[in-house]
Amino acid sequence: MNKPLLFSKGILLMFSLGMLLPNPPAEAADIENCALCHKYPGLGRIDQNQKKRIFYVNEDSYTHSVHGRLRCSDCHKEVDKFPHHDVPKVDCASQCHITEPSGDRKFSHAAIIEKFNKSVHGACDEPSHESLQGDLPTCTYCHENRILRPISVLAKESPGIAREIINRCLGCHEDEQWARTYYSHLTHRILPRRSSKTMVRLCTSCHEDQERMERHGLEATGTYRDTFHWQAIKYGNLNAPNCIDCHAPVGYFSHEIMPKDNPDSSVHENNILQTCSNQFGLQQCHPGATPAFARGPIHPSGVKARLFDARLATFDKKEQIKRGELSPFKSLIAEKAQKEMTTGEYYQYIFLLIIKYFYRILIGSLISFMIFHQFLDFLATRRELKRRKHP
Amino acid sequence: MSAFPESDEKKYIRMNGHERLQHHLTWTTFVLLAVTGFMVEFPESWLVFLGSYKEPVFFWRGLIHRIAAVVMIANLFYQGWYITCTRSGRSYLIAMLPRLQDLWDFLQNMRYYLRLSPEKPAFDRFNYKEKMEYWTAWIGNVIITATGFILWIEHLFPKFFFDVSILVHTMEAILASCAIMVWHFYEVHLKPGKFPMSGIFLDGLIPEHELIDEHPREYERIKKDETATHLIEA
Repeated sequence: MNKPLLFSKGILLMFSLGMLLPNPPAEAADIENCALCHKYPGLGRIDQNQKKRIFYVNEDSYTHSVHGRLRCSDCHKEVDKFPHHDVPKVDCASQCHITEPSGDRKFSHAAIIEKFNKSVHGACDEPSHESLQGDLPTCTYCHENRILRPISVLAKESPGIAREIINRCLGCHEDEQWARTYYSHLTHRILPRRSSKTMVRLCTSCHEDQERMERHGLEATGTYRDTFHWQAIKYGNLNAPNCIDCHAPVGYFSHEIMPKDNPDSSVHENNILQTCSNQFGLQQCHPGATPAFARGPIHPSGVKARLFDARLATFDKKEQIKRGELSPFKSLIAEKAQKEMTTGEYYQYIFLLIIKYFYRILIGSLISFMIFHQFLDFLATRRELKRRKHP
Repeated sequence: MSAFPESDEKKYIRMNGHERLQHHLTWTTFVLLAVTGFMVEFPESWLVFLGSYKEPVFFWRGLIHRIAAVVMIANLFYQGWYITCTRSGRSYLIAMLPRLQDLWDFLQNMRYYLRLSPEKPAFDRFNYKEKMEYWTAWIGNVIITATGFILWIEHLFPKFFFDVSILVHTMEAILASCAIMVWHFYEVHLKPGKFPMSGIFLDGLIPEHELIDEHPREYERIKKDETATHLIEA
């Protein structure tokens, strides 16, 4: 992604003219008057951890965001003195001053966070998760709210709502701000908010990181991009499945993605047939799928088998392993592979490997021979033609 | 030696109507199948470069690929019928069968290429290059048809069948495309004297000097047996 570039562009801008030109105040009431300072694009500093922090809030972006009707202090608690020292990090589970309309409680994301924490991405009781908290996604990792990236507005990155759509709302509702809020509130839950490509990019930003995945005994998903699913997405096919279309299909919830051996997971072997057929979706994907088809590995097996293989290659070090001088497994994933992979799966992988190398050798040798043969023919034909011209 | 010489030179039939129709069906479906097939192997950056209107393109890609595949398979049956059930087809098949002579021809030809011998081998109606191309095309077509059908009705098979099929289908396509480019395109388009292309596939006629040059044994046979049906003076 071009974030670093974007950043430097933004910094350049804020030093050149941003300091002098605060954005025009937006309509939403800023009762606490935070914008008095935070409207200046130059507001920022480098903190104790040498991290660059930007405290500028683009008011226009903010008021049009999902949180546009909240007060700053609803999320940024304990901001009570200048300069704001020791402010705790924003906790998405905290209550804000909006009343949840179906009950009379204060609104909070706590319920969803509770569900999320039980999911494979949450801080569940998986042993590897405790020591590797930093690897897990936080709320804001996936929900990259535009107000968290105030500089991005400079790069026209905000898609917004099409004018002709909002004009329909404005036919009856006078307040554009109000219309935008409620339009977004509904549509965000009905339509996918991200294009499939963005979705794949988001998930693979962690899941293609081989090192990080190995820490958790997972396979990196680089092979998704070899599938026909990704090929269709590449061409902009709206019905082609991205990551969550299978891992959180209709009837499941993206905050509650479970590991595949959990019976609540959409890819658990009891549920996978339903997931592949996508019976309740807008379009059925593989309606006639058989269980044998659905249970096959959709991310082409490979990494796991290779590691399993590496394990087999250490046979000559058996004695060392017995004495405990050498770990029998190269990595967590190899250990898992040995446990999970059936003999059938292993031989299937070997079979595919043989076909692959057979064809590689065949293509390589045959085409090289052909090129060599035709080159000789070219020389001979030219020789022949020359001889005929000047006998 | 130009592509379409305007001369009074005698010409002989090298490809009859059936054979030309089969060839036209083969090359049109091959081009369509290769283009629509390799489209799914393009990197994303190429697609961005090639522009928008991508979703309809993907839809038509799949449809054209399947239609062309059906035509190609029908053409295979047509060819199978032709080489077994017609007289000219049977003589075509018999002339196409590999013989030990082809091996000697190949060795002699290599010696000629490497200037170890001044003598070009005297080829018959089909030389070893043409035979090799013909029979590998049959094998490739059968493999790619079988795997293509599995991919078409993938959901009825275990996933492993799909994995094998997609691998074989892709590899076979790469092999066929490379072979056609190197072997066939050189032989009928790029070879000195043939550029831009040999006209045989259009009118089916081979000029006498080319026949003497490339298929001398066949020429002798025609001269001996005036009633030979597969090659008639035109």
